[in-house]
Amino acid sequence: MNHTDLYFQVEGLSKAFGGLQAVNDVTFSVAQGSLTSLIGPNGAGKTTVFDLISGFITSDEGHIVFKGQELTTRKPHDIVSLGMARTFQHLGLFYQLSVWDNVFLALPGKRQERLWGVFLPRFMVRAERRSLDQQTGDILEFLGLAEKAGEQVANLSWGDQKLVSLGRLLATGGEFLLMDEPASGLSDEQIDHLKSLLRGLVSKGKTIFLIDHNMEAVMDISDWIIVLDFGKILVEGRPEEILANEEVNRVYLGV
Amino acid sequence: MNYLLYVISLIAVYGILTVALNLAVGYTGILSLAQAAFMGIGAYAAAILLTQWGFNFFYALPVGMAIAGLLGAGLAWATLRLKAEYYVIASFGFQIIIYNILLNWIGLTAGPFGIRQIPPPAAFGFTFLGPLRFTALTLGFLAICVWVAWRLGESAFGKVLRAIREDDAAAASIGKNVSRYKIVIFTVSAMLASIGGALYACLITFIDPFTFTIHESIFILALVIIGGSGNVFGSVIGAAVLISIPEMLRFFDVPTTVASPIREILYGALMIIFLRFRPKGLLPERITTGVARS
Repeated sequence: MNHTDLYFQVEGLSKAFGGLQAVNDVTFSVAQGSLTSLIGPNGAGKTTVFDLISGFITSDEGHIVFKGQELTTRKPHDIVSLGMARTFQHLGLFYQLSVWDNVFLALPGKRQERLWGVFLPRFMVRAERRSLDQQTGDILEFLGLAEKAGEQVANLSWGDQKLVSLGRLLATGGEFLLMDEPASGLSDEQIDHLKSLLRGLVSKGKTIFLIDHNMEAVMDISDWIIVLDFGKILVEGRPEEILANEEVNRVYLGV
Repeated sequence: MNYLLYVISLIAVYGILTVALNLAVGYTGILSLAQAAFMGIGAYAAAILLTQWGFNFFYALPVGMAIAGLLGAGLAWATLRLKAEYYVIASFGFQIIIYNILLNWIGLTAGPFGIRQIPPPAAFGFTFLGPLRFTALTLGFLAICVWVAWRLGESAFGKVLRAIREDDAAAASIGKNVSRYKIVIFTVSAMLASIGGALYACLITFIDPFTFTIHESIFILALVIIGGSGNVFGSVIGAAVLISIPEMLRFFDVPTTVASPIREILYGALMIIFLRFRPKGLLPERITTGVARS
């Protein structure tokens, strides 16, 4: 497999849990600077594909290549350092910590996160701290969370918690962002806000790969859609092609 | 007066052991039952090097810290993949192994006979002989250990530990090397515990393996919980309260054979009372918001 041509490519990816073939010989690619969606019925294997890409589970077979680097043998934190980060369906926030700290923690390159860095005199880390504070403030401002910076995440509404998970994702500095059901549980108004945020990120050069069940939102914002069914790719194409596809309508949209 | 200084030294020693364990248990959420093992390693390293090799205490101390640190790192590495409840069992296993080594490696540790006449620390012609000097030394070490643990806990490093405690997968998803953090904090915790052990050996002047059993590990864990899991200063308060309350039994003319079980019952009752009515301990964890002042 040529590892250098494509931005992100999955080839022949398979994963079984016992007798269940969750992902079965899946091959696809994601173009740089695009918003690509992975859709399919419950149990189709979408989150498993995300877990495989982000290194949380190991594949049985296949390759995952990001900017020429093979990811299948890498650990999750190592994959983040390459510029790929993800959110979780269950959010997985640090609920006892503040909104600020959830975002601040995800910023890379802190000397004070290393053992020796903890004991550096304050004047040596002041400039670094100022820059990190600035970045945190900017992200919270961008997401409209600045007013809630000091609040404990556990006390926020679901919608705000979703925004914090997005903020944490952005703070990683990742260029390739995997989002697991970012629109679930949000009101129509919040979904509209989310859609404009995501398109805004793409226009700033980020590549987004997301899973969602909100078809209206997915069709609205996606450049490319991949439909997964029983661990296999059923079809992929532009939103209008997916909407017109009879097989997709039968299997997924139930029409 | 001497007795009071002895109790203060004992509180300082247990304060160090508790602060060290709090880094693993309170900040990182790794429930460990191996603290007495690391204490024993520090105590025996100091006792053997001081009595048999003629080492200076301040040279023996880093040797014990290095051994405890290496074993702590090894234990952390070997048990990284274990879920919390299984880790408790693994640390219990480690505790049993160290206890049995101390008990049965007679050529090195004198086994059940223990090591006697452990001299007081001395350096550069100055001996920390006498209760006042020794108490000052233990309080000095306590201050250093509290400062180290406090800096670790309150820094960005400490925030990562808390993130790992809450959700280690989520911490990995934002680029944190969870395994490395766990190994580092467990190593630091073991090294600090070995300091407590070395001071304990010099305070009591006699050690045997029966001090470093699972009971001792559970006792130190109780100090963490009662003092306040995730609060460094709570650990010192916890040690002060739980060491001094049973010592007061001495003033009530209670025979030793009765005082010992009363002490155990008291510890058990306090654990239950705290877990029921004040689960966050005497000094609960305080998590700052971290928001930058503009």
